[in-house]
Amino acid sequence: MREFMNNEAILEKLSADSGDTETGPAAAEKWTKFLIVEIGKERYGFYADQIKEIVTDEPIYYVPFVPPYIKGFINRHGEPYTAFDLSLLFEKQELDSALFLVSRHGGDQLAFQISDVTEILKVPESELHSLSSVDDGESYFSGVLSREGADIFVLNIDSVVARLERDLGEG
Amino acid sequence: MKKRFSSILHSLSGRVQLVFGGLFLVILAILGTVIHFSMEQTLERRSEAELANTTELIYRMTDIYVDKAIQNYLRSIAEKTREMVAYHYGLYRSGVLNEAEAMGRARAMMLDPGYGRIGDTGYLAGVNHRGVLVIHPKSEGVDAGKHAFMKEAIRKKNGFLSYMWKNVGETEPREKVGYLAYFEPWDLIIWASSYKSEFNSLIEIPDLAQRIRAIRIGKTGYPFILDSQGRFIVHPTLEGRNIQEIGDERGRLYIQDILKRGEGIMRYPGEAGASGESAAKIAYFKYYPEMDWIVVSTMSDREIADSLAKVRNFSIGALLAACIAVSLVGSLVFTRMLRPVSRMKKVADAVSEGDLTRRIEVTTRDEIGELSTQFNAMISNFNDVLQRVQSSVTVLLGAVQDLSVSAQEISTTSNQQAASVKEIVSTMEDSDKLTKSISTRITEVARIANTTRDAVTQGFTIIQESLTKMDEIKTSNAERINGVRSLSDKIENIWEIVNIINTIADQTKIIAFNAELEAASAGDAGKNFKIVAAEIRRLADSTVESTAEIKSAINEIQHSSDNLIIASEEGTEKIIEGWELSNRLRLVFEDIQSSSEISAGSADHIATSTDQQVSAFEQILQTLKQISEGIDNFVLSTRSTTEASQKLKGMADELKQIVVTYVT
Amino acid sequence: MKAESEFHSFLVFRYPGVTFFINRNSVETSLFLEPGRQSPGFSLSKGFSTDVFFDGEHLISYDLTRFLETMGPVDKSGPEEQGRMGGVGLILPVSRFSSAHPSPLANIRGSGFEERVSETRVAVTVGRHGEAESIPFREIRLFSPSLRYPLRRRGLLGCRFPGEGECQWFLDLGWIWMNAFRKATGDTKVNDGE
Repeated sequence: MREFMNNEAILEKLSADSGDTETGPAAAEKWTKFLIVEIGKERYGFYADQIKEIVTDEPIYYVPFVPPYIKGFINRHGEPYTAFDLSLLFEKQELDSALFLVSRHGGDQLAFQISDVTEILKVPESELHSLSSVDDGESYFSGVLSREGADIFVLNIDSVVARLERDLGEG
Repeated sequence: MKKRFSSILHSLSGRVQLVFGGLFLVILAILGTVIHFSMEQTLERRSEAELANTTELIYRMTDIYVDKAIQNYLRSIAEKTREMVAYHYGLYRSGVLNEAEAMGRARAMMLDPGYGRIGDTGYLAGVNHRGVLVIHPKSEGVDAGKHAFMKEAIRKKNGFLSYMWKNVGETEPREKVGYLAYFEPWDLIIWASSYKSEFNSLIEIPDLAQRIRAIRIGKTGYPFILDSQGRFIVHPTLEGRNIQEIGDERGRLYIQDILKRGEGIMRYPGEAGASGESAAKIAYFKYYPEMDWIVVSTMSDREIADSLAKVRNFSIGALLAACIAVSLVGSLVFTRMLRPVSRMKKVADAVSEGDLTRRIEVTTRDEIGELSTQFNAMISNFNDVLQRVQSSVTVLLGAVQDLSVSAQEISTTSNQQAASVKEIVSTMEDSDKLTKSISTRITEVARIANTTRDAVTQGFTIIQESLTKMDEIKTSNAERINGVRSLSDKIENIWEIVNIINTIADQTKIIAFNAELEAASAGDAGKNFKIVAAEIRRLADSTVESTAEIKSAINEIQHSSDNLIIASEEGTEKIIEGWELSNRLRLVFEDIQSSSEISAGSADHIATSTDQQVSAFEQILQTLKQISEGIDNFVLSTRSTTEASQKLKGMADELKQIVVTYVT
Repeated sequence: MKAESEFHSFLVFRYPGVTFFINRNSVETSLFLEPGRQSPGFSLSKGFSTDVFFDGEHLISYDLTRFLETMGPVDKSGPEEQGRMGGVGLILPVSRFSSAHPSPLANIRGSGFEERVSETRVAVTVGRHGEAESIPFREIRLFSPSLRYPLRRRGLLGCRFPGEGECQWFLDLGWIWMNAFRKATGDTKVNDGE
């Protein structure tokens, strides 16, 4: 059956059907799992429960009107996931990789471009040191892990998304 | 010489002089010739005339002298007779005698043949006032009073008388001369007469001769008298001599001729002169019958010729002088006349050399003056025009200069532009080529990424080659064969496995991580899954470890094979070859590794972008080429503009050159 | 009233580099445009013209290929080619625009058009016809919430992955036309981010 629907009606229907589920951060346990990855030359950490999966060899669909660190979308299970190049965001160095961390955090469909996966760490919460000084508002990082003498910054996805929204809002 | 002549020919005055002079010369020559010939004739005639005149003169002189001599003779006789008669009268008067006796004695004396004879047939006679011959030897008592001469005698009573008389018994009357002396008391005209021709023996002619000898005719001419016998009566040198003595037979012939002719011109060869020249003479003779003399005036023919020559030379000289004079005068006059023309020529020369300030001085109102005026006007006009042209040329030059400069500037700029555009085009073409080659290479890269398996296959081919080599090593060295074989087997297997394991390991790793993530989010329900995931993880880890071990084992093997190869002496060559193959193998696998790292998708994306860039590039290139062409056209047109303006400039310069040569 | 139908009618436009679909209901009709009629028209920025003539009126029409080029390589044949082929004009009634943006034609009066232009319809020109397709709703995806609304304001409503690595965009021509028009008339409120 075909009826007249304007775009708004369509969008409403799509929203309802998609049934966005909020997957908030898992309850803090005593032991937290972190996914350690390499992005460019740097090592970063992600909360493992924020990462749904790791995918490789994914084509990126370019989208306009977005900041440069948004490469476009990748398609996972028929859904568009916003592709972030954190190396571009933090190091101003574009990343060339087909390896992505796929995240459904906060209802958002996000994919973070990475160079390589290193390991999954299970460490007590206490080992995550918070950042001492915070320059402006929320930092992009939740804290820092110390591993073999090296510092691994743990990403705060919310703040990255907030950054995106800010950049989009100003546009 | 020729030059001078030709220059004369070219000058107007020269030509005129030449013409007039020539004309004059010709006319004078003709005249001269005519004159000369007539002169010659005249001269001859004149000479002849002179001779004739001289002869005539001498003839007259002689005649007169002779007459005079006869007169004197007769006079002396007549007066002497009168004295005698007077004596007898005196006798009468004194009474000695009577009148009749006195008269008779007187008569008798007069008629005395001895006393009374004069010449051959001359005589004394007496005539009374009536003309009666009272005393006469032949014709006494005859009345002759009717005769004219008698009348004259009666009238004269004293003096000389010449008349024609024929005696009784004579046939011809002859010239008679007589002297009268009147004795009045007895009325008696005493008449002493004689025939002239009978006097030649009576005459003494020293005076005459002297006089005649003194006469000169011309330079060498002289008169002389000779008688009919040829005896020179009067002659400057030959007096007394006879012509036949000195000359030849011809002398007598001459005389005969003279006597025949009586009077006329004669030519005869004289004595040759001292220098042997011809002494042709010309003479005029006249016969003097009273004395039977020939009066001759002679002169050298040569003298006449000389005179003639003199005249000729003189006339030629005069001719030439006249010519020269006329020539000079004519040239002077003409030059004077042509002075204005030469002035004009000077000004014209100056004008032709560029000096337009000169004008002709107009001094006359004739055609030359008019011409000069017109010429001046023409120069003035030309001057005006030239000044206008000068100013125009200056303006033109300036404009052309600007045009030329700006055209050259434009040309330079355009050339620069064209050059730059061409550079850009060439650079772009290079870039284009480069981009295209990059694009090609990217495509190739994508192809490489997509055909990694082909490379692997190739690698296996090389491995095969290496195996063959290793077999060869084995055959040459029995001890190593086993080791090599097992080595190659192991390598063969191991590499294959390693390859697969690598892939699996990587994927397993991912899977393991994914599994663990799933487990993390699945909560309690995922505990078992967690264990499985952990196992998988461990497997992956151990796989990774094993891979690492295998890798190190392979390394060991490789080291061993190194040792094998080094240890082996035989077949070193083949071993080296094998090693080279192994190196190639390593390189190939390095290639494979690096190839496999390139995602086909990325390569495709890059290829697409480069395609876009290539097309954009090509468009830009096209546009630039058009611009370049446009600039080329522009350069061509500016070049032609430059050329045109340069030509213009050249023409303006030429004009200026022409104009500059004129002084205005 | 919402229909429970799982499908809706859309018009799908396929370019070599980008494929998009629009709500069939947003288009009143589509016209074949004669070749060579493309002209820049008036003094607004390029892309706009008053060539499309419908129902006795000139319509302000926007060349969509300008927008599409931001998404990906469009057909190499640009507006000239489009002109040669003629192209297609999609007639959009203003009444069917989303109510989220203000009256689009408020600026028309006084924008210096020479002809009388319609105030009820606008047009969008595309290079090729769209194919009508019934697409199930479940295939249409909204963007990640962080991007959803900003992109929506620019006319990108969502996407669809029909398979084989293809991504089709769900566009709102009304938003696209409005943004372009505002930019052309110098309305600085709208910034399409480029």
